[in-house]
Amino acid sequence: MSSSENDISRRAAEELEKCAHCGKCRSVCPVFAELRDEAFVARGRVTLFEALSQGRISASPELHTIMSACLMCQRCREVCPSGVQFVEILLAARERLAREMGLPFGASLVFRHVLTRRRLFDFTMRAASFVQRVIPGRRKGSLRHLPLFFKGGKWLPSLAKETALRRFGATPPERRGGPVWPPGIGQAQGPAPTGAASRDQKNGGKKRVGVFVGCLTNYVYPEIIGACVELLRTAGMEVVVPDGQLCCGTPALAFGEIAAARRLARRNKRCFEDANCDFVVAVCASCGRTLKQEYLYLLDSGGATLGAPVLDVCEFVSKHTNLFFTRLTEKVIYHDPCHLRWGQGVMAEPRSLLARSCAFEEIAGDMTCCGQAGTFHVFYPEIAQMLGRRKVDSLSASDASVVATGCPGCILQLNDLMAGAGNGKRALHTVEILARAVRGGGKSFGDPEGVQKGGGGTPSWVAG
Amino acid sequence: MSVDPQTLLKLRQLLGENLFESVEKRIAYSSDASMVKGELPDLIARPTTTEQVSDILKLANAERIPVYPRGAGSNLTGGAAPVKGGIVLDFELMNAILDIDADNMTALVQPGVITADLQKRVEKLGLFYPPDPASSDFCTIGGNVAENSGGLRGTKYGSTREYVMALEVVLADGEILRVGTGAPKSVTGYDFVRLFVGSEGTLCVFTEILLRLIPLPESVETIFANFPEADHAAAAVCSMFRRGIVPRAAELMDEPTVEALRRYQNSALLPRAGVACLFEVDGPRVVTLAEAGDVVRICREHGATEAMRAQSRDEREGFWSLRRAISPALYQLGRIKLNEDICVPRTRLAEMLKKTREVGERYSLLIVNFGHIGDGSLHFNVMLEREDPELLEKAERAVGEVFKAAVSMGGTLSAEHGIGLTKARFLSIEVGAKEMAAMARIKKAFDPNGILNPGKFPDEFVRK
Repeated sequence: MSSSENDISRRAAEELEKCAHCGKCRSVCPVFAELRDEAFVARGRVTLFEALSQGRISASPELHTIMSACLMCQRCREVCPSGVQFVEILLAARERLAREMGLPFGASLVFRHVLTRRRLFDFTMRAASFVQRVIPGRRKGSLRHLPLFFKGGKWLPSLAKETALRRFGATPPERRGGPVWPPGIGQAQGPAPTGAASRDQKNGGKKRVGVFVGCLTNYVYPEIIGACVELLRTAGMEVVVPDGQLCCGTPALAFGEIAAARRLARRNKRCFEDANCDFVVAVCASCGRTLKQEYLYLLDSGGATLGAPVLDVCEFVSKHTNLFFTRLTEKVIYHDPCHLRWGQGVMAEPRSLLARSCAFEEIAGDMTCCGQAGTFHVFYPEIAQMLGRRKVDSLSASDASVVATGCPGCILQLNDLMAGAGNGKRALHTVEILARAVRGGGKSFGDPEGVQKGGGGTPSWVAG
Repeated sequence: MSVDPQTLLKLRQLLGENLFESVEKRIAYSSDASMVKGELPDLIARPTTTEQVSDILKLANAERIPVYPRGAGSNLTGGAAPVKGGIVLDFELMNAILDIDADNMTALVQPGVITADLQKRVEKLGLFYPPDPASSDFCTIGGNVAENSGGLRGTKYGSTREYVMALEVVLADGEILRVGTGAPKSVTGYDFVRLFVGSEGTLCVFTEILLRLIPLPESVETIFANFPEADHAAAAVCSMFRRGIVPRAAELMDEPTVEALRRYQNSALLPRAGVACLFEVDGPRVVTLAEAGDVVRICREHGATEAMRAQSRDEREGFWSLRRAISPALYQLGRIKLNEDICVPRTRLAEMLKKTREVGERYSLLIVNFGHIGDGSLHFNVMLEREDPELLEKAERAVGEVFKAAVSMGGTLSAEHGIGLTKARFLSIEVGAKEMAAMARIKKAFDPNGILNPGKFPDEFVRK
């Protein structure tokens, strides 16, 4: 057993010991609410992990299913009277099951060799997307998924013409002298500083903020990074999107590939340390949670995991900027991403920012998970669908046209759910709304202009 | 014990996917919220109709297969833990609220309904279901009825027993029986409802429960008070009753509890020395305001160093968050907690508290008391550093002494948690030989083959 595995099982054992088996986790678990099955809630999984550790049972496909069908939403952590960090137990269980049973070949290939190499990742995405497009007559349903090659029947989301990292990414000047911003970046609002200029301004007291992009945002929603960059620059920050960054490692962790996750963490650490930021912001709730919490032990670091404090973008805007928003008239409701609200405790910040920038409305008592949860919806489409139905019912009750949220995964799922339900709403990242309010209004959210995605059926990206 | 292939086949035909057979599920369902590690059951049956329950029991009775009824598995005394294989009869899929009759103020529910779900539903209609065990947001009504659960509002509103009007039950031989009536008064025949409430799954299982509701009180006032000694607090409570104030909650936290809370989440509310109390009165607004003033005055008259009424919702929440933090906070004082729930007449409380302290000192064990002192119930907790057989044995002897003292003061050894497995050996302290023999005859009459929840308290009589 390697030291990393040792470390994982030691932390899991500590959490295991805290559990008093009271059953409080049953009151909040979204998966349990659907299945009402003791094996599919934190307490049952704790009992099973205990049995596995004591050798009373061995790794089995059923145990694998039980341990996999967790959203990792962390609601149980929030209510646990004994303070059990259940996710540690779950990760240890998944790590052990992956070690004993092995991952599907495709998955482990992706984690070990694709996620760690940006060019190969880019190429794989394009190739997979291309293959999907040229196979005729198989596109059912509107939701197509990231190609993790685990299970058939799911589709890639339409990829953006240009990934966020290609559009906004730059090698920080410390390492490569040249201009920080490729020409044309942030076409627009406010001056687009060159590397040299921005360094000067930093000397003038400008904070340097690094943006962690995340895979789904990079390949599917680069416009979120556009909005984020615009917003931060309007707030007078120097923004850098280091182009050497990789996947944060969340999927690898979720599948128990700790070593792969650690490699990714180290590469990201080096990349952001080189960028020499004052802060790192994440636009994806799951990336943010992993950077804040899992990197602590993956990197064995006491504090700042990327050489600077990591914050969710709304957290950062709320704490460190003083932006003026022109209040938009659109009615907007908000969906809590599990990894933001329960995973990072960020709940008030996006709400208060939205209240300042649009006609924000709270949906009373809405605590439902959208059911996307990384690859959860790929493996457990039935449960994800049950969760999604609850979510849509809750959202449909409002007449708002826009649902703001802080996670590209939620955006993907919500848009698909709402398109299916035909409730005429659209999900956007909170920063997209904020950026528009900072601009002082402008075109409405529904306007497809500016959404730089490969539109349905036009494989224009093939050439690029 | 194992189930023969033919019976298994019949159960599979009857229940389909609602019959669990895998070792993973059997492990998950082998324990409850107590420290008891149960034996593995052979099967978990999850019926959805009364007829299925009846068919399962017919088969089990014919084949002498033990049956362990189970709600949420939140039992603290091992009542839901299997002891020798057999079938766990899980009621979690029978979770419908069948009817709420606002005019007659009744609710008809299936046993798997979560207590808090029912409370929320009826409160929207201006009705109130008062029993409120600490586990109300995940425990089930069926379990509450089987254990005659109490809770925080017992001082004024009593236990579950006071709210059960009628039951549909299935007897050990599969016969379906309706007992009790929806009429507000009824004196026809033996009162089976009272017999079955609190029978801990040893006489029959419930399939429908008719509950009495009351009007929702208009307002609630909460008072936090500190006293130099527990005696003062107990005297203050008695004084409230004498002056016609029946608080709906009267909670005591003794010195070690306050100490544990201070270590866990220090609050300015906690006294430097002495005990802390929380009182609550409810009713029409004019009445509660006046009564809250009286409670504050009475506390001061009895030497309270501090007594204040919550001025806002936040303040009230602050008071209660201390009360709710007790359970996890106690782990600051020891890793293992033996949690008992004695109850004595109110006037003997001070004496009882002294006794527990004295026993603790004599055995050199740390005993911590908190509880619903308004109805004389006291949760005394023996805190242990480790799970050491010698230490546990010593603790058991101390617990036995405290039980004896409680009974000698006209009290009981379990106010609300039930007897189950953990307290069965102490039962003879309170229940005399003749009464035990009568109970054993009743058990024999309803369950001649002893298949219903074996190993629990009635079996203790049979063994003697």
